[in-house]
Amino acid sequence: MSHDAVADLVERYLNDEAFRMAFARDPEAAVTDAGFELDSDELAALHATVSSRDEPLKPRVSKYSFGS
Amino acid sequence: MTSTASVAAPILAHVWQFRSFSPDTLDALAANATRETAPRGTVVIREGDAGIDAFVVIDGRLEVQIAGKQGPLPIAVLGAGELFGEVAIVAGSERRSASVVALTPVTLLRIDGKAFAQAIADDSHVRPELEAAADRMAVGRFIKSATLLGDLSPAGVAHLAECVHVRRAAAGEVVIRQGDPGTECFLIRDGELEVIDESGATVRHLATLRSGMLFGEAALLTGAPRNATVRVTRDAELLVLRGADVLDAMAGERELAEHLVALMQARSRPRRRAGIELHERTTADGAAIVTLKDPARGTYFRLSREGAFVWNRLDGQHTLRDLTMDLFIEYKVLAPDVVMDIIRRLAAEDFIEVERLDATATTAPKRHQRFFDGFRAVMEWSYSLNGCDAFFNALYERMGRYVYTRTGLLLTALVAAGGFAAFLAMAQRSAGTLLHAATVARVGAALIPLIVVAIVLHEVGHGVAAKASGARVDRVGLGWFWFRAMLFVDTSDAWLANRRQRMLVDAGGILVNLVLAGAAGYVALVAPNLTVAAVAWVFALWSYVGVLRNLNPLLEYDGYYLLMDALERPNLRGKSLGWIATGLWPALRDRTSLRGHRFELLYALAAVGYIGFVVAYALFAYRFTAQGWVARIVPSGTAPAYGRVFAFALGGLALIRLCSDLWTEGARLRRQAAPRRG
Repeated sequence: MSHDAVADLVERYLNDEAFRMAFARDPEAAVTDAGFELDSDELAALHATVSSRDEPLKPRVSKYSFGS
Repeated sequence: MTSTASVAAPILAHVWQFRSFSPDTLDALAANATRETAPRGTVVIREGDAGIDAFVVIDGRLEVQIAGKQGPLPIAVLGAGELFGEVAIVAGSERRSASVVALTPVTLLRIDGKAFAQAIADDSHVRPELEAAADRMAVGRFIKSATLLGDLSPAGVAHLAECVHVRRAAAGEVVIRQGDPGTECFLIRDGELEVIDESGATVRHLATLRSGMLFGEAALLTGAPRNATVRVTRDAELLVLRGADVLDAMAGERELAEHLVALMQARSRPRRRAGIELHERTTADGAAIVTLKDPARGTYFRLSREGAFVWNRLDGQHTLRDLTMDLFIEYKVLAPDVVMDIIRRLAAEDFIEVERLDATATTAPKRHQRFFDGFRAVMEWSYSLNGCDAFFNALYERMGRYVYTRTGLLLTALVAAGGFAAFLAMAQRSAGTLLHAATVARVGAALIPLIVVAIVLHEVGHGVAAKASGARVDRVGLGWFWFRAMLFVDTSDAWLANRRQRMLVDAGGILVNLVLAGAAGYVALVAPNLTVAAVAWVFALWSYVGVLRNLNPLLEYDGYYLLMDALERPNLRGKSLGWIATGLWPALRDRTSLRGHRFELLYALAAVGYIGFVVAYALFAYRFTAQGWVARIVPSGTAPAYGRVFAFALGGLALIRLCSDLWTEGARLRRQAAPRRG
């Protein structure tokens, strides 16, 4: 798969809601069904797990209640 | 079947499409009509089957369905007086283009296909109307099966199919011009278009659009001018949707609204908000942690390595496509879903500037959410005083910095430990003193101001510990927290500190309580006056019990923050309950996933178990403290019942809080679902 083809895949993901939903269920199946052919490196990139550390941090409120 | 010619004619006369038929034509159709009944679930006509008979609904409801990849897709619901099955004749096909299934027991009038075809041939007015209806059905079929509007209800699809008009555009034609106001959006039925940015010195290609895709939605949702130009590259057929019709559909259909917002965000070019600070640190296991801080709002956001990479490129020029490609090249991760998830989270917390929804395009929160939000606002009210960092700075410089040294902490620990020993040694004498009712009253009166001072000092302890960890303390306040008056200090800036420092901040208040309790233990040991000794001892007891309660990790007190920081799991409660709401059921079917979420499961089970403990504790405490008093003022024998009401009311409130968290956090997780997150 060429660099342009990866770009096409990404573009399809961002503009096609149906493809996006299929991708959320099973990325590899969605990509294959849409006619994109992945080589082993791209397949590995598709399956790469990304850290879940992107998150808002809730306020830290150290409280002491009169009943506690 | 029975011949129903005499009753069929008046029914046919009321069919909207037949209004131009002459009485003779209607009589001819009625002579070839039969009345049929069918139970619920009957497939009256099946997509792909041969058949040209048409039907009029006399009674009941039916659903028009087309085949989809995941099963049948409903595109319309039919009721009394409506015609179906006519498309095969109008289209000149003998194959059914959709299935029609009875939703209720139905009574139908079947019209012979050949007689119907003859009637249409004899009347020049009726064919155009039937063709228009067939076109609307074809549009509905396309909307339902091939576009993001497929989530619309059958009524919504039918409504949009009636509203759209078809526009054909030749290659080279500009459909949308950047900067123009936008009142329409477009569904591509056929052809290809490109999206270009003409705002810079050179024209930049942003995206290619193909059949089934929607464009032009951003201007409708935000009220802003068109943010890009869209030009036809291959002759196109477009379905034009008026803004008002789309907004109407969104107002009634939450999923559609969410899809449109997601689409708009996917095409955006986000920009970092001005003034956001970026702080980096490394965890004990060597992982790099980047934390964003918005000093103006006092909010924080943690980023992964990939998240930080994306953040650094949010300059208002990079599209999500650019960001995904950059991430792929840099880290060999092909993750448009993750990039979109990062952008969505940052946008939700207002750390980036993205296109915002116009007020008319927003949907109201669900009723459950409004209830929980309102309930929480009442139960967790607070009043804040800002700008107190200088006070804590001064306090730390004059006193705190001596405590937060190795020697200072050692001495503090010795005072606390010695005081605890004195407290234990004086237990018998103090308890004996408290057997006298007069002493109890005096002790109680003296305790109240001591407790108030101790709570204030507890919060000061957190603030000073925060300063020792290099964090700001910008806010203190008071309020109530689930029926308990409280004081608080906001130590959110400790998110920028490392784990040890954060745990020190968490323990700062408890440390103060232990020292105060220890000092009280010494007083109880040496005070010659029995009442003074008893006051000191009871104060120490209250402090130790308070410390134990504060260490309970199932409530959002110090113990919760200590556990969260020790495990390096921010938002522990929210994540655990959110996972229970969204992930437990699938995980029960896939035990591998369950093992990966053992901690969430344990925490959530403990939170549920704690409600049972609250009820049991309240019953126990009531029985051995208040029941005797209550029995003096309520009818004989009813005092235990009051205890049960009290205990279960407490349990009910705790249950509402748990449900509120489950609902809120579950909804948050569902909105931010990114299955490939590790």
